[in-house]
Amino acid sequence: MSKAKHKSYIGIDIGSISTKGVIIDESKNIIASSYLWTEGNPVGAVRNLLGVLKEQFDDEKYEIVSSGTTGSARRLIGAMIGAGVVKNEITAHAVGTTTIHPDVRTIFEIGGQDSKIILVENGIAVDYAMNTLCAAGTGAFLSSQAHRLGVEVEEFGEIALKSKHPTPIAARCTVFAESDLVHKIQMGHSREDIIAGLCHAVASNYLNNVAKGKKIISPIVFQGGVSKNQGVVKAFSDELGVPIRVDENGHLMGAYGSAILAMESRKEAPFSFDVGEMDFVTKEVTCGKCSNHCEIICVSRDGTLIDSWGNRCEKGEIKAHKNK
Amino acid sequence: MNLDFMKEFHEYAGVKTIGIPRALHYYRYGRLWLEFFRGLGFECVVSEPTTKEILTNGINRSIDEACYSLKVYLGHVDSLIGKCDAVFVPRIAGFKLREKYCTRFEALYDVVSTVFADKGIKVITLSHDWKSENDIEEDYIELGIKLGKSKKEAKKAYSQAVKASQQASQAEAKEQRAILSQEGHKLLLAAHPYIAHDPYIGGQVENFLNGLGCKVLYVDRANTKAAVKRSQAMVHTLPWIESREILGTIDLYKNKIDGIILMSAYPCCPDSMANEYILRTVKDIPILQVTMDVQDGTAGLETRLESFVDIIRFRESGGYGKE
Repeated sequence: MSKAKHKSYIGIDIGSISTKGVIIDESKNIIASSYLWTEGNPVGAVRNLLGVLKEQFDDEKYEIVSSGTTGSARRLIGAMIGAGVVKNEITAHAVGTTTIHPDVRTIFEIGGQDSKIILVENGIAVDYAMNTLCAAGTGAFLSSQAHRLGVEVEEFGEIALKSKHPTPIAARCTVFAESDLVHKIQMGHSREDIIAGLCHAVASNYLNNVAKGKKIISPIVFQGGVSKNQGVVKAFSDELGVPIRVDENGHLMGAYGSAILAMESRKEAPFSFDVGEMDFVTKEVTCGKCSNHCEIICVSRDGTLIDSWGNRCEKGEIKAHKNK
Repeated sequence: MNLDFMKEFHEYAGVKTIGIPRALHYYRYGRLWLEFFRGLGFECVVSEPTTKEILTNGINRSIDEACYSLKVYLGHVDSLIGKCDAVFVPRIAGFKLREKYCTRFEALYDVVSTVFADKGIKVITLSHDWKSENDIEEDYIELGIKLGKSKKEAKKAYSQAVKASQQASQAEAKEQRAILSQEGHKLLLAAHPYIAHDPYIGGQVENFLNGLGCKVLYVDRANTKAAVKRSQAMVHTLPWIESREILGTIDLYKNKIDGIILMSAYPCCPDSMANEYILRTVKDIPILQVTMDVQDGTAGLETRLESFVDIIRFRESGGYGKE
């Protein structure tokens, strides 16, 4: 007689740069996880991701009963895998992080293009802020400066830690930072001082912009790609005078939170890894019903329209046929 | 005495149809203008609600540094060309030294006249600011006379227009008061009326939040007089009346609502200062700051609004999955 399988839950976080997936058991332990580049192709990235997760997954012991998506392509992938929960990345990150760090009070997150701060009280997110309009001080900024200095961005942290006198760099705006950087190089500042200065600039830019006016209370958890940079971690703890926690699994928190949200939704639906092998087509349609010319995205699975979005008003609504 | 020859001196002679751009002060005075001009026997054409096309045409007519709202305004003026005899572009710049509109309202008539000089459009205006010695009523009457009407006719049309627009605003204020005592999450869209009510800019916010089961409140439907008064006790030097209305309304409402959405168009001089003040001084209520730029797409806005509503709900329920 075969024993009933244990329930498990999958969460997928599809960002502009990377795609993350996590499968958890009923006690919220991670039983499979993967992380790969989105490379401008979210559908393809999720297909690969599911392939990797399937290999790690013990389908004799577990069964996936619910799924969640988050990140900027959450709707697209949610439609594709038939996710029970489609949630924004801020909520997903907060849920994931507070599960692993129940005592956390402040979450810093600096990614490729986004930076956010989430304030937590009694284990729940109570306030947040996000960078507006400009990406100065994010991962993209560090990468472009690394390129200028002829250093790999991954080496940044290590080099920065060697500096004793970080060079002050104006990092409020990428354009100014770049000219300031060139000036400091010409003035003869050493490379490690400049790199440490850049790390400090990222931290102080973050504290003065994204975290402006927010009460930062320790314990602080630092996440996102930039948290892998030891120089920035040190700059934060220097500026704030408190230790900063960086989690090994920090990059997975969105996916992890998404899996927990799927679990807590109690919405169970069959899930198949093979969903990635079905034929998904996304088509862009320009609505001609008014001069807004909304670009409507239509997603179809094996030739059947399953969802659409992008219209500003109901004139552009394209409804999926309900055929079960 | 036959005064017909005086018609020659009427600056705006020959105007039958007046075009009104649906932007900036339209969201504040639009009803009054329509009543006033129609009361005087003119036909009015209001430009269509903002679309991408209007915005694009406005951008093409603007210098790069102009704010989103001015770009939208110029697009609306552009869309009225050929549809009316004259476009009404008022210069209503403020009433007191510390109750002004921002500089672009001061410059509006000159900007439009200059930008559209090549189109040969007729621009009719009225000018009022904090240095004006007369009441704004007299400026409207003067406008009526310039349009070829008698002082008496203009006076009557103005007082009827004021009455009608007040009645309409009072009805809206009453509706908003009713919402305040209703169940459900209530969010104040703290923004200039021309941002909050423009369907292309803040107009999406109400739809989206209603979809999440929230109710949206507006600054211009609150008691703006009381709000301005309240703001005077809070900050003395703030020059802009709309910033005062926003600030005062936040103070009047903060115990009755669940959150505040501070929405600005980029770049906005008054907001860059007033919002900073609000963020630093208003505590104990969730505030979301959103900046709208001429960029396309609503995904970023939706992410921010959705997570903001999540936070409000989680705060109340005290945990995830307990909603």
